[in-house]
Order: sequence, then structure tokens, then C-alpha cells
Amino acid sequence: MAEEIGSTRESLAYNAGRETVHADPKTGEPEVFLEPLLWGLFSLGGFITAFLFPITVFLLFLAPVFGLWPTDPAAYLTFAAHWREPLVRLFFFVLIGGSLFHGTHRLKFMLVDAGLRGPGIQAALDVILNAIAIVGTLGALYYAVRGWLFV
Amino acid sequence: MMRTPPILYVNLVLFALVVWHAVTWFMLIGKAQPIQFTERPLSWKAVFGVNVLLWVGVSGAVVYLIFGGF
Repeated sequence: MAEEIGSTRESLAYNAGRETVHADPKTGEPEVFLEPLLWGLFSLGGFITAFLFPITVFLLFLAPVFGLWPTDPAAYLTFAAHWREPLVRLFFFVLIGGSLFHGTHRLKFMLVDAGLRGPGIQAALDVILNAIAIVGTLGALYYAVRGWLFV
Repeated sequence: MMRTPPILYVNLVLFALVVWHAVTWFMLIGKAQPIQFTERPLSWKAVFGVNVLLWVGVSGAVVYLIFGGF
């Protein structure tokens, strides 16, 4: 009796212990890992930037200047007092990291659309812009944990 | 330094850009990632409205939790 073969070119017969049955055929192409991760960070960063950045800029830089707020949250003593709280440190770490990963990814595709095309150029853009995002995020992490985990 | 005109103008432009980003992002969500609870996905206008309400709520939470309230 001939063995039944599915569209994925794998046996549909019960084959416990022989080999794993994959839903998708193997194409021989390398698995894409970094691209969806960067797009995921772009999307997450977009939400973080949209929800958290406007109120932060307004409170720190505009409201006290125009007399729209009774206190000045950006004043050194006020900010230093808030900065002792872990939630505040986490907030600024997430805000800076998310915005950087979103902004650099967006900038990359703006530059590609503007004509910076070609595998070499795109690879260089990937390296430079992702390095900016990673270094900036690590810098934010350093300042977020400094004085808390180490002096 | 934040009160000097050049920095103030930069901050005003920065604020306009982040608000522009927020509004266009909320307009995009319902189109790029349709949310479906019933047979038809929610319209992008409904998703936009929900996001704006969430935005107001999150901003209020940030005021109190991060910047200590009024």
C-alpha cells in the first residue's frame, strides 16, 4: 500500500519516534530572527512614544514656563526627589529606550525611501541606527540603576 | 535654561511632533491591526477614540505616579 503524502511533502501516516512532522515545508532559507524583533520593538516603541512622551514634554518643558503648572517638575531638587523612586527610573528607561528603537527604525525606512538603497547601504544603516538605539538604551539603563544597584 | 527663547522654540516643536506622532499613531492602529470582537472588526474611528481616552488616562496616571501630581 502506497504511503499517503501531503502537500508539505511529508508523510501523513502516524510516525511516532521517526521524525517531527512540520506544518510548514522546509525551504532551506535561514530563519529570520532579528527582523521581527526590530519590528516588534518599533511597534512597542511607537505605543510608548505616543502614550508617554507628550505628557512628559509638556510637564517638564512647557507647562512651568507658561505658568500652566503650580510646580516645576524639571527643577533640580524636585526632579532629584522623584528620581529616587524605582517607578520613575523605570518610566524614563522605558520612555528613552522605546523612543530610540522606534525612532531609529522609522528613520531607517525614511532614508531608504529617500533613495539610500542597496544591500551594503541598508546593512550600514542597520548597524549605525541600531547601535544608536542600543547604546542609548544601555545609557538610560545605566542612569536608571546608578545610585540604586551601585553608586 | 529651559525658559530661554531658543530652547523654548525647540521644545514647542518637539511637543508638536510628539503630539502629531501620537494622533497619527492612534489613527493607524485600527487600520494596521484591526481589532475584532464580533463578526466585523472595529472601525478605525472607534479604535482611535478608545486610544485617545486611554491616552488621557495614561497621561493622568503619569502626572500622579511619576511627577507627584499637582
